Amino acid sequence: MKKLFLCTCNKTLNQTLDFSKIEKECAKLFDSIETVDNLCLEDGLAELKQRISDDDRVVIGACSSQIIEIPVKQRVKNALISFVALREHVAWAHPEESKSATSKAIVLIADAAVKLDYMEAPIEFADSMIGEVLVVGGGIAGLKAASDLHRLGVGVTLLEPLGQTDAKYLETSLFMADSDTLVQELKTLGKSLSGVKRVQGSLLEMEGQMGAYEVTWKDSAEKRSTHEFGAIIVATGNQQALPSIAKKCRYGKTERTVTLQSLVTRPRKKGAKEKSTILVVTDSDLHMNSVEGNHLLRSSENLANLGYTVFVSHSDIRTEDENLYRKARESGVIFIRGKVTKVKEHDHGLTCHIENMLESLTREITVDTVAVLQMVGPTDDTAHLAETLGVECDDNGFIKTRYSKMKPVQTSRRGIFLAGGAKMPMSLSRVLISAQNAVLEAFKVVKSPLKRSGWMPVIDDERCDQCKACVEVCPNDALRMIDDKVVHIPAHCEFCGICVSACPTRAIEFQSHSKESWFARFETIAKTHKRLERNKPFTLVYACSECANASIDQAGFAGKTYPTGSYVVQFPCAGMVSPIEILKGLVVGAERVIVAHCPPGGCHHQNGDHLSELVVGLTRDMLREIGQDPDRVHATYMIAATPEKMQKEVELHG
Amino acid sequence: MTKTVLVVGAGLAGIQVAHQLADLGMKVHLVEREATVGGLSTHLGKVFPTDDCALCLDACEELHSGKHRRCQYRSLLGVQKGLTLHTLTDIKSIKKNGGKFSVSLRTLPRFVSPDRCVVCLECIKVCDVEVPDAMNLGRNKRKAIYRPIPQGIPLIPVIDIESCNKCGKCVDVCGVDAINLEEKPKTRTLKVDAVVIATGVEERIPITLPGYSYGKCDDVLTQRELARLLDPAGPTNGEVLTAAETPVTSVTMILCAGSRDINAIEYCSQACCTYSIKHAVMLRNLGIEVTVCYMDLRVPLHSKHYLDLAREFGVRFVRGKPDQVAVREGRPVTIVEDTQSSRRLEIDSDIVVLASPLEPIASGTDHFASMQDKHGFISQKDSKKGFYACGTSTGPTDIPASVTEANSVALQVYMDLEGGA
Repeated sequence: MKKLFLCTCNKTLNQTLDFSKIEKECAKLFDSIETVDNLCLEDGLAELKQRISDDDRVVIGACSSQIIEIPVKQRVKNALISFVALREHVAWAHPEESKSATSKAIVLIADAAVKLDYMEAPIEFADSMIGEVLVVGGGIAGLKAASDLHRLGVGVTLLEPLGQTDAKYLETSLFMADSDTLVQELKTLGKSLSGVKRVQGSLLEMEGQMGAYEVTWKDSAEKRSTHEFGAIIVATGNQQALPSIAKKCRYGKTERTVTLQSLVTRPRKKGAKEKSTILVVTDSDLHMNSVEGNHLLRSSENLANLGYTVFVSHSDIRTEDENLYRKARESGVIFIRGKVTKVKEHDHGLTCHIENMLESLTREITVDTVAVLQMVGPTDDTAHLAETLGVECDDNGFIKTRYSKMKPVQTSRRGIFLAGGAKMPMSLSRVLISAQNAVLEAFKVVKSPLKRSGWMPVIDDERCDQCKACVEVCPNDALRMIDDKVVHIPAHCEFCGICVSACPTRAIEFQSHSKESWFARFETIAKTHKRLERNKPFTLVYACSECANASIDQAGFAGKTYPTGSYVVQFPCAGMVSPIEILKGLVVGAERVIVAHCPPGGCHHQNGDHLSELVVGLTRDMLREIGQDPDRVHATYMIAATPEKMQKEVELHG
Repeated sequence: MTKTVLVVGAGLAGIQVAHQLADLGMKVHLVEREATVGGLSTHLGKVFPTDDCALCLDACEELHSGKHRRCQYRSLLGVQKGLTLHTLTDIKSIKKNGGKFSVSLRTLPRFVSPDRCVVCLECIKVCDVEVPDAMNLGRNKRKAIYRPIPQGIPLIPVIDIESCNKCGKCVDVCGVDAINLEEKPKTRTLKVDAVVIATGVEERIPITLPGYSYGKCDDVLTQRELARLLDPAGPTNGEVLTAAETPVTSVTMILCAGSRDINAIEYCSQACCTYSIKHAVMLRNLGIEVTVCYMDLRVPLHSKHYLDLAREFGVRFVRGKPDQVAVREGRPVTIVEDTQSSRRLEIDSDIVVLASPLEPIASGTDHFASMQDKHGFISQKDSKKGFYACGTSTGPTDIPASVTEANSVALQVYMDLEGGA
């Protein structure tokens, strides 16, 4: 049975909407229509549960699906339900336009009724996860991650670089903290690793998917072996490199120019006071991060305390700990703002020119030693490793996280996580925190079987011409070419539908969201609109179900009203929209089609924002080509923090 | 037996740790002093490094079918299995009782029942009492019954009983009997196995720096207040206006206003350089002239693009810490020595914005006092068994670092209570 439930939100929506008209106009579309006042309250929900049986198809016209869907789905498990946001998208958005708001409500309900005709039950699937985790180590984060996983009772293998030793761990981490703290931490971690499988080797290949990655490596005896893991943590640590200013400082040409770290770690006689002068050089063309800043301040203070006269040439010094700055000053370190432009060697030292561009002033100082602050970067093999694992790197060569604000350890590939310096240079405490974060995510993957439900892409092998466009565009590695066939990997799928718009032969359709369903829906919207609103122009807004939909909800909440005749059609992701849907929208009579996506770089599925801009650009080109106004099609981003966006877009283009 | 964890403070870190612990199968009580969750982030609108909403949350497992993060209003916060949210709630006492803690909570009345309210907002429409909205610099009015922000969780309104005249109009209009003006505070006691402190930070009100004329001149603001003006859902609908409501054409920003200063707050608040420069870029996009007075520009690598944009868009940078903001004919004039040219500048602008330091929020109880450092941040090395801390309560930081720390604490709590030797 097809049923419609309407909610007046405590008899307030009927101040704007004519519910009896809605009921009358929608009568033919449903087997039953019921209007209630408080659907979201306990009694309303209980009644709803009673009225709906498992094989019903239901439209609920109430508040935003984002609010009402949660309690409804908790109670009504099996029926297919489509939601219409009568409150946020209609009554609150058009409080002054009672008549056309009612028409809009009818149009949206008619659309939802058609949507139901194409809706299938989401597919539930489960996948077992191999309970082992691989830590690709080299940095301290790897030791911490392996140790915590071991403590959690998870099988863990720590794959370390060939020739890795405790001394090497210390040497490559000295920039992170003072050496006493580091030595202590390494000792503690070393102890907690007893019982952990540690292998030295290099990673060669990886296949498979989250829950079942097959990893091949070559060990120190050149022996290849393949092992299975549910999740992988990358914790390769850092490597220090010389900045380009080192050359100007005659590094390699004179023994007087050294790295700051080598100067600090140089063995000394106990108690002996050093008398010479040092200029610590930083490269002001580079963006210093706070770990390098901490290291600079700690080392300079350290040298000053040994008796050296220490100068530091610098631009901005970043540090997480203001005390380091203060302590360095107090120990006598002299800070000179400016850039070293020239270094000349003579018998009794190095004469350095430090130029301050703004002051147009050059200072000249002569020192015994120049110490260059090294840059902390990713390890040499990071790019190769990233390629093997199928994850992306950022502009600085570190492995990229999926979303820099909220997903600190997730990579672009499911089941592969980042810990410590492989992501960016970090202080010791942050390295340990980051390692624990990666352990948490890996643990959540391997601790229990994966359970998911959702609509899947369906691939028609007959139509598919194996162009691999979908495989390349899928942001989550959920489609792969195996034996000349495109295969879907549900464990990686995020149900975004981006593959659909990428396919040139439309050999992929998304369950419940087929081309036919969109066509039928757009036609219904146009037909119903014309019946009720005659010649009034209308706009279709194809909104992604994440940011854009939230922004439109918030427009209602924040009272950012906009004209009626604007119909929001929700797509799982804006990246699913292809030129076919856009053109069909225009063909059925829409004045304009607006594609609303997540903010640049902020797509919840990684690249839908970018792809939808491309698709819209392409469609505009097509329109131009055939002499149509390209401005009828427009792409934009909408987020909840900009609730006025819908108002502006519709007023501007609607 | 299922272990129970108390999380104090529902800012971004508190919410994150609570979600994670609930996902790991633990019982969580999330306690928030304010009427809605989100803490400092609710004031900020767009945040770095991604330039999207402050109210974005990591999705929890129940929603995880392909979902990665959700807006607050559509997260499961408040209804997630195993997670109980207590707003308007303070901790009265924490007593150690064997291996457990006995926590006594006091919840102030909201006067609106979450079980009854349908968020139709009729009550707000009929309320006659209007008071200046403190969250928005008092530049707009709110009713005595109000919702602090459009998408705050819980979505239902709250009554500011101090301003309420008890006329009863809201009670009459409410068709679902959700409002009870006689509601009394409630106390309850919980038994928990661990306590996570996530009380967070707030921006210091710079009246302690008389030289900068905050409070004397209405056009001297803090960065948080500027964020409210830049917010399209804020008091001016995103237009940057002076206190006299004229459009702003020039802005001077003073970074480290009262921090990195031995006479004020010694530490660096970490996040203010970046959000100030983010604001500078937003102001430039509105065609407003911006001068930034700074000591060091401490923008982390993940947000370097803001600095590049600021330079590209012509933000003027002056290296120097202003001595004074003078008020001349009602206008703020920043007096600063440009240390790079050794010239004394007097910068006249429509508004001056102070990057005021972030200070730990006093928890209202002294239960955590022995774990605090001299600034009031929770010090990891002094933490006591069963107590954990994350987010800005351990020191000022940005959202990515807060979230990472919250996740790591969730794991630590789980390991200590449930697993591992």
